[in-house]
Amino acid sequence: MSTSLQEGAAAGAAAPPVRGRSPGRIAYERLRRDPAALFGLAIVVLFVLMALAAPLLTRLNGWEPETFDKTAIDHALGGVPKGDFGGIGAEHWLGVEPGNGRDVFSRIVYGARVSLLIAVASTAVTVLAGTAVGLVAGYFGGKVDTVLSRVMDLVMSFPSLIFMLALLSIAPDANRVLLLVLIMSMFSWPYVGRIVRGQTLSVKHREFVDAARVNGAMGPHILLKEILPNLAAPILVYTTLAIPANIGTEAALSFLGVGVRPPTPSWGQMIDNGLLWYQVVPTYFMIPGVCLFLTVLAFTLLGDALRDALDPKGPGR
Amino acid sequence: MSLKTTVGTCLLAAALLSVSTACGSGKAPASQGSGEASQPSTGAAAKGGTLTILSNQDFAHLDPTRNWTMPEMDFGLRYLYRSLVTYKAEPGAASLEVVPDLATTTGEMSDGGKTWTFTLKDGLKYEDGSPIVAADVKYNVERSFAPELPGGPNYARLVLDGAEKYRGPYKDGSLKSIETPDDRTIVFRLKRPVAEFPYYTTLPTFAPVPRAKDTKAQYDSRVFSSGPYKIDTYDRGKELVLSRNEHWDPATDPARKALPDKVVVKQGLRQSVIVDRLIADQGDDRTAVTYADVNGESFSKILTNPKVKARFHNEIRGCTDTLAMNNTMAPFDKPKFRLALQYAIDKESYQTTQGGPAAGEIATAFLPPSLSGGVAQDTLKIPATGDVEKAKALIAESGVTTPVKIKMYASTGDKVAATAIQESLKRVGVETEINTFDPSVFYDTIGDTAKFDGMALYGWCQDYPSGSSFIPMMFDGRTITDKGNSGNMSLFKDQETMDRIDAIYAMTDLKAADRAWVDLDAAIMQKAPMIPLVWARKPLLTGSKVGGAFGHLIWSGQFDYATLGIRK
Repeated sequence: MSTSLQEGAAAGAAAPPVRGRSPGRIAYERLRRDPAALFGLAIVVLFVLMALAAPLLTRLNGWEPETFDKTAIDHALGGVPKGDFGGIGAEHWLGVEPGNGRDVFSRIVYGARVSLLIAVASTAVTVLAGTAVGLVAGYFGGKVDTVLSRVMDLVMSFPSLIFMLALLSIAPDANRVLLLVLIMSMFSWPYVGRIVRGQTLSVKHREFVDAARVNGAMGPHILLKEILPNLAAPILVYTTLAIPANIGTEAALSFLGVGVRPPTPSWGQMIDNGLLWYQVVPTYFMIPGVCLFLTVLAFTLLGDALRDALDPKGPGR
Repeated sequence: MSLKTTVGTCLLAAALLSVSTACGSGKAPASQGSGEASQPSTGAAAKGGTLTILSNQDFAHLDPTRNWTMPEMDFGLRYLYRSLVTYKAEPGAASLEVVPDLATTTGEMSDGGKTWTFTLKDGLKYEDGSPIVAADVKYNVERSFAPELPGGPNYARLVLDGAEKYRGPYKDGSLKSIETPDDRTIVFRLKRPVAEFPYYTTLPTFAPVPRAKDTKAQYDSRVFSSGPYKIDTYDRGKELVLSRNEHWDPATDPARKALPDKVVVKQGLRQSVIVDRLIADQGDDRTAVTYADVNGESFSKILTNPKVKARFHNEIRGCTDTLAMNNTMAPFDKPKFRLALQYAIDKESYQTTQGGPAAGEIATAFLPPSLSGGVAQDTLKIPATGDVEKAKALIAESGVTTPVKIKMYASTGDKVAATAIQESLKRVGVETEINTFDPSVFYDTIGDTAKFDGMALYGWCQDYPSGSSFIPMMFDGRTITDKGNSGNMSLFKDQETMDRIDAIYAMTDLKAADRAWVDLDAAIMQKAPMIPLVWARKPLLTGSKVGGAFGHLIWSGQFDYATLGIRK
């Protein structure tokens, strides 16, 4: 998609404005005029930058995410942060964790890394696997389609959260992030697979595919060069909508105690701990909650806007 | 669209599940100022009124033969049935003293401690006015052998003569080693001398159950009362209502005051709701007490408010939180390394995660102070935050090269506590990988000696006030079992320790034995099979009109129900 965007932009720059615009150009123009999309994009960029710059940011405030600060909590009261709003102040910008005094800002920043990494990686695996299976099922049809479709139905019919909980509880002590990525994508690829299969079915009998076949193109060429580019729009939309869903799932798994291991920070774990303290230190519960909310909202807005923008029947053509 | 729905359900399911895990976790933090027990000024309670007990759970068992959990034992023994001997209903060290209950004395020893005779008092009656006879006590002890009624204390099974193959009164009839020559005399014949036998007879196993009223498994829901109250209604998990047993004679009972006319236990409430209601102290809640521990997160609401703090109790539990290590595997097979960890751990930050000084005292020995003459033993003199230099030096001596990686097991509720240990071990180059398990499978996991390959947050509580309910359970290498291992979680097998345990068992002078347990404790600290962390406290709250409230050392710091009453 990004290539067609650039082509569109290049075409738009080189040619006089009155000429017909490419679909990519149209989508770009629509997105640029959509405040919701811009808002979503801004927040996504902000959080991504924050995650990338996490070591820099923590050097700036001077607190590593795992370091206890006993001076910031009241030992006699079971570790309640000293000061108002969970100890928010010049020393700890977003306050400290009750019980141990770890810096909330540092943990949020490093938590963004974990949350975004897992969400993006599992979405990537989901989309790649789903697209491949969907393409093959839709294009070849027949027995291949039957087998693959039934497998997809089977996986989709699992109660995914419960299976994820079970699998993560008994899984060996391997790399936890990798494990989360694999298990989360294991249950979501059929959703992409079904969409891609349906699109493939409708595209494969179109004239340009027949034309390519008449010209002597073989299976892989038709799949990758003729059909796949026409699936870019739905896949892109699915991807942007799947990322927030995966952020939510990762948070839920961490919240339920099967996510990343302590002391690695994660938003879901922070919300889990914060829940115990919400009456005494509401900020500790709210800060990771708001971050999670904003990220999910931003990606969802972006995904919705992208879907509208790529809709060939949409306005502004 | 379906995506968003998925997220929504995930979070909802997450929220629901967390509630249930929160309820499931066993350990809860407690609290108070400078490490001392809170001693609120509860005025004298008068006779009459209704006492409400707010609980988040149903009783595990009320059948005296099956009742072996705290604080159910407290509730059953103080309200519904009397045992041969019981503990004084007084705060502090006095609560560790035994006084006669159904019996006229705390037992007459003969045959070098192998025969114990008890004589019942005159005028003891059940709730229907029928007399309590010695045969009923014998019958209930026999019931404790029945496989149909599991869960109860096993002390009778361990010491009674010829009881190894006995399967209870339903299958095997009468047990020969308990004799009842007349209605008021009961004689126990033991297979070895047991100087501590009077302690055993405080257990609910030694309460009377008349054969005619025995409904076997159903007896759990409708106990036939020999105590000051009888069961009016019991809707399990919802409500239990007790009213006075008019046939109970206070003249025969030195311990129980039986002040309220009625006792209502409301069950199945959420603990945070109970605590908030007791803090608010409105209406009927003024005559209510909490049954389960005050949740640690509520401490700051209680301790910062003098009016509420005055109603807050946190007696010591008689339990020790420890860090257990598998002594049979590297690097824990090196005693120097284990000793180094004693110095490395910042017990203060562990204590904070458990709720601060109000939740527990920093433990400097395995035996809680109640078992070492009321004074905390501290032979190693390690600062509360640890001694990093000394620890590093000891690790160097032990020959273990740092950084070394070890696994740590904790139940999900102890995640934050586990990170405190992790952080303090990082200071000496020990890297810890935390594995959390649901409380329901945690003990099975670490109790499987083949699977337990690291450290675990563990704890032990006393069954009766003696080092013999602590040290041998935790450190006798002969008690280790391959699966379902408990107590000696460290798999510590040390010949010298076992010899000393046997020597103390043979003592008949209880005072000397107590001293010997304390000395042995100090010796074990040097070998460091486990690391004591905190002596936990029991945090409880009462309404403003409740009097006579204090945490009883025997009932793991729970209120002594014998003295609770309503103030005028």
